[in-house]
Amino acid sequence: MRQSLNSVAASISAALATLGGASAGEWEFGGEVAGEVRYFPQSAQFPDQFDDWQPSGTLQADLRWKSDDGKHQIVVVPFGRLDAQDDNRTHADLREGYYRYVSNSDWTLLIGAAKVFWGTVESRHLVDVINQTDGVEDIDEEDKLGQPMVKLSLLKGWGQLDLFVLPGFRTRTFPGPEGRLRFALPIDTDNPIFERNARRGAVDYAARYSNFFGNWDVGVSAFHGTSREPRFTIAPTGAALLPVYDRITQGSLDVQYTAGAWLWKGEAIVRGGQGKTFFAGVAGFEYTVYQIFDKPWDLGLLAEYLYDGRDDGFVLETFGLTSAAPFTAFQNDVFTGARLAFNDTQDTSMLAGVSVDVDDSSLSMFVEAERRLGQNWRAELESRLFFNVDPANLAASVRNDDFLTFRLTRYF
Amino acid sequence: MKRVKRISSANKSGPFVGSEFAFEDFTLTELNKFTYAYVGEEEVDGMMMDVVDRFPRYEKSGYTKQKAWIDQDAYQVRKIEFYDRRGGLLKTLTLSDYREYDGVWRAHKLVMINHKTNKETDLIYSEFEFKTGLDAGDFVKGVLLRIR
Repeated sequence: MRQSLNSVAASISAALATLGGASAGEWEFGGEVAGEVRYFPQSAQFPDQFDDWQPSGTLQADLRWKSDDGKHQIVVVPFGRLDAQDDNRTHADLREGYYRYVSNSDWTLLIGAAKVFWGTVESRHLVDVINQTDGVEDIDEEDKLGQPMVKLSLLKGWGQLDLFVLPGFRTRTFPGPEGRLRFALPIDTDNPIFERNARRGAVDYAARYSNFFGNWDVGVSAFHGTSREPRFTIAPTGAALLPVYDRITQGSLDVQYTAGAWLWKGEAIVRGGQGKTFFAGVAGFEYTVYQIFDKPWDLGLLAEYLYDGRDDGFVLETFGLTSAAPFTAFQNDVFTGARLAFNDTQDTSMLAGVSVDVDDSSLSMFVEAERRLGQNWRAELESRLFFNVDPANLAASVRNDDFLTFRLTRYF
Repeated sequence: MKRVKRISSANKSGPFVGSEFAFEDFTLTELNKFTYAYVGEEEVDGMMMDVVDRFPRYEKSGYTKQKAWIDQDAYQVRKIEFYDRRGGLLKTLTLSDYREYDGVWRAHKLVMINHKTNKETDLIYSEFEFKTGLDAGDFVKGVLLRIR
């Protein structure tokens, strides 16, 4: 097996060598294996959901090739998870799998599946629209599925311009009927509905201009295509929710102003295509106190305000309500948090935060801590807790789903 | 995460990944970053050294004073003592294994001893390369992102 893998690698690199110019280039193999267990101390709210423990394991390989002149690059990052409790969480994805041409000077062209991150704030990822959320991984919307794309980047004196053509829309993943952290009804991910012009195969387009001006980092983006965020309708059986994907047009702005120990951050979007055109924004700061208590520790204090003006709701065709925006938990919320970096050789750090819904006082809280163990291991603890959840709040369906995760990762 | 973020440069006196080196110990020693006071000469290991006190002119330094020993033959800095905000001796840096690159001398072994904690960090350089063709444009986000 190893023999044949090597010969495949050799022939690929030989083929790339002819493409790249002269010699065989440079291979890099890496990866990580993680074992994880999530514990839910409270009993499940809905039938079919499991109780207590959720053991799980992940594998991610990382294969990189670069031609000798650095102009041709290939990156392949497959990911897979096995989960003992939730069949939907057992899944595989090509996180990245692309070829990139880097010109001598000022442009690059990327073809394949890739991950692109836009944004500055901590509490919500509003402008980050290129990749679909891998919703079975966590509810923080930070895990993303690989997105097929052709991306042309121009790096000029006047800034950076990225142009995207995005074929191959990915539907969002959701926990299955037995999974925790879901709505009262499970989501039937096999039967998505594509509204109006949002055919399943429709191509999406995006453009982004980014640059820095002194202490300002600024990004302006536009997206036209199928919304990564679905709304929901009740299936004819009445036993499941069907995701509904709309065609949207969105403009966005993200900024960071760096001034000494202060980072001022903001993100804003205007979106059309889901009910009435709406505005949403997040603005806040992170202030760092260096060497707190005369120790090498740095303490970051975070505060952000979140606003979302959308009209969200179910799509109830029978009542003629066919145009609404997807649910959001962030209409009028305040986030405060603290980041503690120990500046030690193990790179120990902690981040804790609380989000409060200003309208109904529902609270959600999280703590994340991580530390490297030796050269190749990392241990992580994550917890999310829900308090005082208003029955009408989006979080009501997960109010019994406080959890604690422990993860041990081995890097190669 | 493979993201490129801008971080603040305000944290000059913080330790670098748990070591005895602070960020400000790495940065270039440009003439205008200090005011200087000549202390005198001293013979160390058979070499004649100039001893110079230098006082940081930049904000947020963790030091009130640095005392530097510079050999009179090659003008190489051999030792620096760092004095903390209360004026006490905090750390001693010893520079050795100087090698030449086309007329430019660089120390390859930097040993920092912290007198408060009695810990030591050795910073060993294997090789320097100059004139690699990099310019300021290579350090913008988009370029940093495509390196890996």
